[in-house]
Amino acid sequence: MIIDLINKERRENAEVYDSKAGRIFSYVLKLIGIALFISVEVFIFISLDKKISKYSPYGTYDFLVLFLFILMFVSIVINVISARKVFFNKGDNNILLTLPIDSSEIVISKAFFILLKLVLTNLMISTPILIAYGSTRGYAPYFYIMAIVLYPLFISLFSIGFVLLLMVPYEIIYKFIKKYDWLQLLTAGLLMIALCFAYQFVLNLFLNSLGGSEIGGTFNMDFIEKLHGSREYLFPVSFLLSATIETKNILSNVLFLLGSTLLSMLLGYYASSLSFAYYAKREVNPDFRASKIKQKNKPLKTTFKALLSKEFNILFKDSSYLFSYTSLLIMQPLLSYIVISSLSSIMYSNLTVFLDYFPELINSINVTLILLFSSVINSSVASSISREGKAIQIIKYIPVDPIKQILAKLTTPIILSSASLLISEIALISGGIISIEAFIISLLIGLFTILVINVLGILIDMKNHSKNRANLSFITSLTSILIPVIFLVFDLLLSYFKMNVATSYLIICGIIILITLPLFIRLKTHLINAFNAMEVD
Amino acid sequence: MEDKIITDINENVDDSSILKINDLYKAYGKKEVLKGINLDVKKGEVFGFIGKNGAGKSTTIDCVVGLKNYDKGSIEVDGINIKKYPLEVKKLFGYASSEPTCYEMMTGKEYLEFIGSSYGMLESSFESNYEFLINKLPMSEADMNKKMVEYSHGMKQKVCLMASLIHNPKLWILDEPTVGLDVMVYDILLKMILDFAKNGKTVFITSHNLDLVSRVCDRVAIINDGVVAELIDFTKEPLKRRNLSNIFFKTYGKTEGEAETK
Repeated sequence: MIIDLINKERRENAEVYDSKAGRIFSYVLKLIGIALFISVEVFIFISLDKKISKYSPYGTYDFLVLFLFILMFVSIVINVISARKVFFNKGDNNILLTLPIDSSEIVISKAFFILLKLVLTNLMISTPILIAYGSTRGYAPYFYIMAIVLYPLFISLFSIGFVLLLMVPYEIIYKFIKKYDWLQLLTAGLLMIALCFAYQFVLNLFLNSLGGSEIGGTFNMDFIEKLHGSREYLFPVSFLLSATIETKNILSNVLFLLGSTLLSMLLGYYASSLSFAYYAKREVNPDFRASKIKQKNKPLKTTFKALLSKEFNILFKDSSYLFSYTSLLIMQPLLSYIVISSLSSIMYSNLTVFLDYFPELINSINVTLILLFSSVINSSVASSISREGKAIQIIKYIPVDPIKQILAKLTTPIILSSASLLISEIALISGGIISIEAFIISLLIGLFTILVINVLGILIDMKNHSKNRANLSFITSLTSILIPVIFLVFDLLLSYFKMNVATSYLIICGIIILITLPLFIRLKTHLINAFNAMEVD
Repeated sequence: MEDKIITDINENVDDSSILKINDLYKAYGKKEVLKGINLDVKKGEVFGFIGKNGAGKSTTIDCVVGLKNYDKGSIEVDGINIKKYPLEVKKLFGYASSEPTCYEMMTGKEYLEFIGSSYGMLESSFESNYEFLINKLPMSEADMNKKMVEYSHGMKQKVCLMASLIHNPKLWILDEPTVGLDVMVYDILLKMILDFAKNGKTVFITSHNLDLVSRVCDRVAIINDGVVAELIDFTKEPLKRRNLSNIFFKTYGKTEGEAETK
């Protein structure tokens, strides 16, 4: 029965394809993605490994332990997310709980499925690192058996307990957050900030490994020394590698590993069994079901939420926007970081001669580049009405207030573009690439430019919907370039007259607001009139 | 079955109007398309609106559902003026256009949920209407959970028909609803139109398909050159159902034979 259940989990969680070609294409894409990931990961590891080996004889081994420990942590996080989906899959459990199957069999099958996923994850992310480490040192074949079989299996068996343990609080927190919109927004915001820092850290790591032969930044001598002192606490990776690579205290290490793995598995099993039993009780309990039915008397989604999710749907699932906008948004922080940091190291040293005349030159160029990246990417999505394509009829005949529809249309690209701008800025300032003044002014003008482009875009789009599309893209593209250029010109001009930075930024903000002011006069009326006057076929 | 439909007299027709169009004018630049359309559609009836290409059928419907603005005249749905209270009026009707228009990146169910949300529907009524419609038209739950970009033309048309009914409107406006539908679904649609009217609701339908119109409609208006040229009441003159194509061609100054020869 358990094997049947595991097979069921495999089918339930497999992607469904309409055609064989679609399946092959998807597999090929996945393989390319995995290959790229492994290449980048191994490249970073080997580059840092080489650098560290020049400075410290034991540093490389410590670094291997740390790298694998981080990867184990990543695999646990990834699998906690999928374990929650597998264990608390409502549709699946509604079927399983009505069948004469013992709930312990269900729990074991689900846990085994997660274990398989863990082994695969570790094979994919940890084994290449061990192979790279062994091959650069010419280790004997038994090391590769350890890398391919023993390591992923042992670490997965150890991790499964933690995955099952952590899955329970994750489900509780997840359900709680889902209840409140404001909490979802707050969590998303906090996660975004955390991701910004993580992104910046990984970028630094990447650039560090690409850079010259010296170690620096995160990987300085002090760090290597600290790592050596604390390596043995990176359990269980340190114990496993100590027994297999260093061949020290093999018996005690293996026994300790087996004991702790067993303990973690038992704890995980009991936690998941208890939570599953509680879930089953709630789901099959008729009173609980009745309360669910009562809840159905609430409205579907609110209209605004429905409109927003429709807009997100278009931007994230329509291939034309996926290439021209969404993918560029994701790339924007990386592009800004690489371009501006490269310019800082290559070009600015040649500009020092101009700094006497324009003390703010470097800041001006940095801010202009940030603004250009953000506004040009945003301008591709400013035609919010045409985004509807053939479905434009729908927005005209559904009984939803035009201003609500326009707000939803504006909110989506503004949120996405602003988030991307903010991530870029945080990455740039945490990397020390831009100054705090440049950060503040580029963020303020950047956000304002995004707002202007989108408002102008939707207004022109509604007024010229069935007319010349070229005019629309020309005007929005022009605006996206014009505001950064206005900033550059005035900032250089005021810098030439040696004006204080804060005052000159205030003046520039005033000028930009003044130029764009006519757009915001009686804006609501203009938008509503344009929407009502718009005729669609 | 066919004769039963033809001789059926819809007893649910109410004397009060659900859709009233008064002196409607619409021009595209200098070209006048509607030159004073007058229509009075009663509650509970199936009303056919037919005419040759370019006569102004679709423009009239576009003005009613709010896709186009009109220059002169007035439109009222259930006594509510469409220009003064557009949102209130839009809540009263369901509209399905000749070409299926939907968000193809959504699944069929997601699209219906989106439409339901825009009408402020309750989850419970959405689910019961959804169940009813997917059984009626019919579509499998698996198909409804596929993205509509993978749908055939007929499947998209079915989902659009469902979307036009999901909020249980008083007035069902259908613009060439049979385009792309297979024979089975065509037959189901005929029954749905009749059932809808039997429940005291109104159907306003434009079609080139005279067979459909003669089988289901209580009254038919023929539009020619931007005005209503002929208004036929099948409830009073049931024999005219069989002669509809003759009347249609006569309106345009032709006999059926001439039209066939051409």
